[in-house]
Amino acid sequence: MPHDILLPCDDIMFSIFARLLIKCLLRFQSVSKLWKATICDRNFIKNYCDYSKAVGRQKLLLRQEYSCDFVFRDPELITMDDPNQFLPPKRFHYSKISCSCDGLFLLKNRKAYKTYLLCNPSTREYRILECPYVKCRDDPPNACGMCYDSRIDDYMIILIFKSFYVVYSLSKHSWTRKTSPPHLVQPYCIDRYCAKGISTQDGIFWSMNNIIDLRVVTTSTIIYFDVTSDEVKKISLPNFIGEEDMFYLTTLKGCLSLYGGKGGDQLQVWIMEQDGWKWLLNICNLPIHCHVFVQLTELLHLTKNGEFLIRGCMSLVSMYYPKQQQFVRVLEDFFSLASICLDTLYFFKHTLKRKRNHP
Amino acid sequence: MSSSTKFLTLKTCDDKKFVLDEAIAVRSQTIKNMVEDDCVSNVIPLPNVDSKTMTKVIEYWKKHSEEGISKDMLMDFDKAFVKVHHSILHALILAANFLNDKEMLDMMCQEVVDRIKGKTPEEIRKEFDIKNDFTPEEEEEIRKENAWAFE
Repeated sequence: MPHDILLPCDDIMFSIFARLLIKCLLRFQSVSKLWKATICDRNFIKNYCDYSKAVGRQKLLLRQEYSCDFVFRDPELITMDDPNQFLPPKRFHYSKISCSCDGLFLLKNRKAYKTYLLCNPSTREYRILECPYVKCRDDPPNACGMCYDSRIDDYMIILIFKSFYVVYSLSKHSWTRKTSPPHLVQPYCIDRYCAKGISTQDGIFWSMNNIIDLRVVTTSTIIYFDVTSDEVKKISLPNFIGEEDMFYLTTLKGCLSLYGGKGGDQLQVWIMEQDGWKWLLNICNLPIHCHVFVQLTELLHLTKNGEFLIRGCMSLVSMYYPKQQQFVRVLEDFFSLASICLDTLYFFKHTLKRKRNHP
Repeated sequence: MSSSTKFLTLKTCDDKKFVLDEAIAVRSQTIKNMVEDDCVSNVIPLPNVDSKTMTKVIEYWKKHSEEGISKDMLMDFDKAFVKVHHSILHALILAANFLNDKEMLDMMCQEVVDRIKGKTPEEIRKEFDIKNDFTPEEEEEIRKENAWAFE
């Protein structure tokens, strides 16, 4: 009589555990030493993340206006309430998302200049990071991003400053300053705006924009951090972006995507496929408040049914139905933050000293 | 059955022989590879599978190879098929893994998931006869670290 049903081999345990929710796995660590060792196994953590990507196991992470708690919703069935929530430590209560990758988020308080919070809202774990290379308040990074390096199974955070950039490795818990300056990055003038990188499996992409004033913005350059060569490079601007157009990056179906246009009530959506940029559709009948502030409209998610989840500039979360060309507000509340969050255990047990939140 | 039907003889670890239509037996990727590589003599030995388990596996294979069987009927069959004691479930998982039948393995793994997902660690230990090898202090430490997951 086998002593443990799941004993047979790692592969079988992995494929059973990979289907479980994170909350279950955290609880099941106390079943036995074998179960705990499996759940904390680095290979399993990678396996779990891969499975999440393969089956699209992700959540919509939201924070209401004037609230500190992050809450979760199903991005396909928005109305389904998830009782889980994540409360960051107090000094990060009203912080913004600097960048994210898979289910990991980097938060930064507007007032802080070198302190960041790296967190995994799904496991409620976090780590406070201090970038030692930020010397003064007046020199904030122009861009930041996070990506996964599959060769070494590690996450990297990159902060790009005027004349240098720094890379943080999650597993090493250390920062490296890179001397070769990413000369392509231009400094910003408005609001200490730090461009949020969009991560794909190849690296991190930023659309760097000429902000002429809050209402007039054009896309000038797309740069990316090539994870294989560890370099910041520039990609040629696609032909469909005209001189006065404003485009933003996002990911749809795991592919790099661009959305934007000349303003007005339409948004063009393009997706990067193997053989280049492909036009996906035009989002029509944009709500009137989004016409002017297209730059504040976030394309969050493309559902399995082909609908678009959008956070508009008034902090409203809507679903766009392409067939009807119609927007439907899906949540009553106003949300200061909305992002897609993959179910992942990464960073689990990797913290040097585990910190707990929530009583 | 057409005259071209080929039969394979499978021999389990307890020396029982099963004669099976090749078209059905190749649901096992392991057997399929052996057939394709032409390394099948008269009898295919299955050193990791006992006859009791193999009977169940063949029952599953035959049902899933029936012509004209509806999806609903298969679903009902699968539902009943996985309702077994955990020791049989365990043996079936091992067999499906060895025989490399992904569809069956997926179904069995999902059954284990459904059995454990809503349970407490105590209930899981009880159902699957797992020994708690933590000291009370160690267990308390895990509970404290992940208190919200136990709510």
